[in-house]
Amino acid sequence: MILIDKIVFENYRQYGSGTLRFTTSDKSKLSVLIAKNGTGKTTLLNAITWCLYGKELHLADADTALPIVNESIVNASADEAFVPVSVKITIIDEDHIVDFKRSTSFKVMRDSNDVARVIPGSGNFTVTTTASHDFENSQVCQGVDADMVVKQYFDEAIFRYYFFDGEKLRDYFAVGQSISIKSSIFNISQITLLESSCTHLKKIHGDKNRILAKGSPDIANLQSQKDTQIKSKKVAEDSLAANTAALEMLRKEQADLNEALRGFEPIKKLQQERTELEGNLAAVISEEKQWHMRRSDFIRKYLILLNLYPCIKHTLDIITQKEKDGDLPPAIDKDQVKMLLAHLDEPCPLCHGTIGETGRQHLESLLAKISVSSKTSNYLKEIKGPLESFLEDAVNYKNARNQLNQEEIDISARKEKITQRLAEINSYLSNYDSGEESFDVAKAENRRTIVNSQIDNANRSIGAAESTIQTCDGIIAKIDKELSDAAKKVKEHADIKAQLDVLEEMQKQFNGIKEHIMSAMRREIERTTWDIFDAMIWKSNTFGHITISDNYDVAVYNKQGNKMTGSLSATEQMALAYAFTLAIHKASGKNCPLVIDSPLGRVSDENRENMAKALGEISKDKQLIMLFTPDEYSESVRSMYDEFADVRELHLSNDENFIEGMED
Amino acid sequence: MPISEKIIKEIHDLSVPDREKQLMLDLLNIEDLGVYQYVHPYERFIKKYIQEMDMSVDGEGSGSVK
Repeated sequence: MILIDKIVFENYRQYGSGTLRFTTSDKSKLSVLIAKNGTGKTTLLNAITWCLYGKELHLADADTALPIVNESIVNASADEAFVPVSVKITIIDEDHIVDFKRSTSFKVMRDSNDVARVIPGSGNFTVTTTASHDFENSQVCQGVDADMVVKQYFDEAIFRYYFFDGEKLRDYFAVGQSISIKSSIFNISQITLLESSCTHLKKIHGDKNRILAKGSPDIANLQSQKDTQIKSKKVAEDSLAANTAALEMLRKEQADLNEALRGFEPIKKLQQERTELEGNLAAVISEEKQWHMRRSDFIRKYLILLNLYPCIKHTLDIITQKEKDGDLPPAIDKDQVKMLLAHLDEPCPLCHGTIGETGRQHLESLLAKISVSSKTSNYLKEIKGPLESFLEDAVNYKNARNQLNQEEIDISARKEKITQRLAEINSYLSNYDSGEESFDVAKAENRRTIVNSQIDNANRSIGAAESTIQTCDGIIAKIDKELSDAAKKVKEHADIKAQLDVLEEMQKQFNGIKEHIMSAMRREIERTTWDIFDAMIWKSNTFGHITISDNYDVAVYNKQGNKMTGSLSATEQMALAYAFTLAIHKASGKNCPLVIDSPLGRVSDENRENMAKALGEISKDKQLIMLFTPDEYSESVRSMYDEFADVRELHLSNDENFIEGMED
Repeated sequence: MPISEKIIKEIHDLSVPDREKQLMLDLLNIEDLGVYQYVHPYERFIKKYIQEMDMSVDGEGSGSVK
C-alpha cells in the first residue's frame, strides 16, 4: 500500500510555509480536511500536481492565475529579493520512504510606486528514496530519472484517477471520455507497452521482408556456368596434352629426317644451304615484326604532331616576334608597375618621394606598353625549346615516312628472295630422283614438308589450348567469387527468414497477452464497479447490473435488464463515477492513495450516507484524503467518520493571506 | 517502471519454451526503457535467441519456437 505521509510547503500560495500530515496508521487511513470554500481545498490538489508534474492541473484558468508564490511574502520582501517556493510530498511505500520535492524561486521587483512584481526563476525537481532500514544511504535522482519515479507511482496520464474533484466526477462519462478512459486503462495495465512492442516488431518485420523481396542469388545457375567452364578447360587441357605429345614425336621425326637428308652426300650442299636460308628467314621474320612495331609508334607520334602542327607553329611565331620586338624579357616588370599604381598614396620605393598625378600617368602609359609580364616571359622562353623540337620532328615527317617505307621494301625483298630460293630447293628435293640409291630423297623431303606443317598445326593448337585454359581459369575464379558472395547472401537470407518467424511469433504472443489482459481487466473493472455502485446507492430493487464495453463505455441496467444509464440522477451518476474510478484503482494492481475534493458534492439523503459509508469502508484498505466544506461534512457524515478518521479544520488567517491549521 | 506483474504472469503462463518467454521480457524491457532506436536492441535479442535455439537443436534435438 502506498501512503502519503506529509506535504511540506514553503511560501506556496495561501499555504505559505508549514506541514500537512496525514494518518497512515493501521487503524485508519482516512484523513479529513474541513475548510470553507476559498480556503485552499482545490489549492491542495494543485500543490500536489505542481510538485509531481510541474503543473497546477486543477486551476480554473491557468493563463490568468496568480504566481504560486505567497503574495503576502512577496509584498513584505525587499526589492530584488529572492523568495524560494517549494512543495515536498513524502510517501511511504512498504519499506521505502520517497520524497518528491519541487522548488523554484521568484525575484521581487518593485516599481516606482513600490508595488511588488515577481519574476519566476528556474525550477528543480528531485526524488529522494530512502530504505526504512538504511536512513544513511538515500538515493537522489533528478530529470528523466525523477520523472520515471513519478510515473511509477502517479502516472500523469491518469492523474485524474488519483487527485480529483468529486463534483466533477460525472464529467468522466462525458461524450468522448471513453477513449481517454480506455487509454488510461491501457496505461495502467501497460497494454501500451505491448502495443508499442507490436508496432516495432511489425516495422522490423516489414524491413526484413523488403530485403528478402530483392531476391535470392541463383546459385544453381552460377554452378552450371562454372561446370561449363570446367568442361571447356578439360577439353583444352586434353588438347594441350595430345598436341604436346604429338609435337614431341613430330620434332623427333623432323630431326631424324633432317639428319638423314643432311647425311646424303649428293644433296649435302643443298641441305646446308637450306638450313642456312631457314635461319635467315627466321631472322628476317623477326626483323619484320620489329618493323611493324616501329610503324605503330610512328603513326601514333605523327598523328598527334601533325594535328597540333598549326598551333605549335603559330605559338613559335608569336614568341619569335616578341623576341624581335624586345618584349622578352620585358625591360620593366609589369607586376611591379601594377603594384606601384595600386599604392599611389605611399612613397616611391626607390626615391621615397611622392608619385603624384604625373607619375601616375607615366606609370599607366608604361603599363600599356608592356605587353607581357616577367612571369609570362619566363614561361614562353621555357616552352620555346620543346616547341622547336616538335616542329623539327614535324618537318622530318616525310623523311621518316620514306625511311620506314624503304625498310619495308628492303625486308620484303630479302624475305621474298629467301622464300623463293627455299621453294626452289624444296621443289628440287621433292622431285629428286634417287635412282638406284637406297635413300629416297623425294619421299623423305615430302614427309619432311608434311611433318613441318603438322608441327605448325600442333604449335597453333597448343597456343589455342593454353589461351583457352587461361580464359577458363579467369572465368572460373570470377564465378568462384560470385558463388562465395552468393553463399554469404543465402546464409543472410536464411538468418532473416528465421528472424521473421520469431518476429511473427512475438507479435502473435503479445497480441494474445494484450487481448487476454484487456478482457480480464474489463471484467474485473465491471465487477468491482457494480459492487461499489451497489453499496453506495440506497435503492436496492432498481439496479440489476453494470456492463463495460470494449471501448470502456459504462452502461447501467435495471433489474429487468433494460439499459438506464441515461435515466440516472446526478447523485447516481456521481456514485457510478466513484465506483468506476475505484474499480480502475483496484485493477491497476497498485494501491495508491486518493485525494478527493468535495467527495460528496451535492449528494443528499440516504445516498449521502451510503456513499460516505462506502468510502469509509474503502479507507480500511486504501488511504483516502477527503476535503470537505463544513456544510458537506454534515452531522451524519461526522458521526460516521469522527470515530476513526484523522479530522482537522483549515481556516484563513484574519488578513486572509495564510491558511491556518497546519503544523509548523 | 518495471513490467507489471500481470504481464509477467501472462508470459509465464504461456506454453512456450523458457527462452521464448525470456525473449518477450527482454523486448518489453526495451520498450519500458523508452529506447528511441529500437531496431538494434530488438535484433540483438532476437539473434541471440535464434543462436541459443540453434545450439539447443544441435545439442539436444529440441527447442522449437512454436
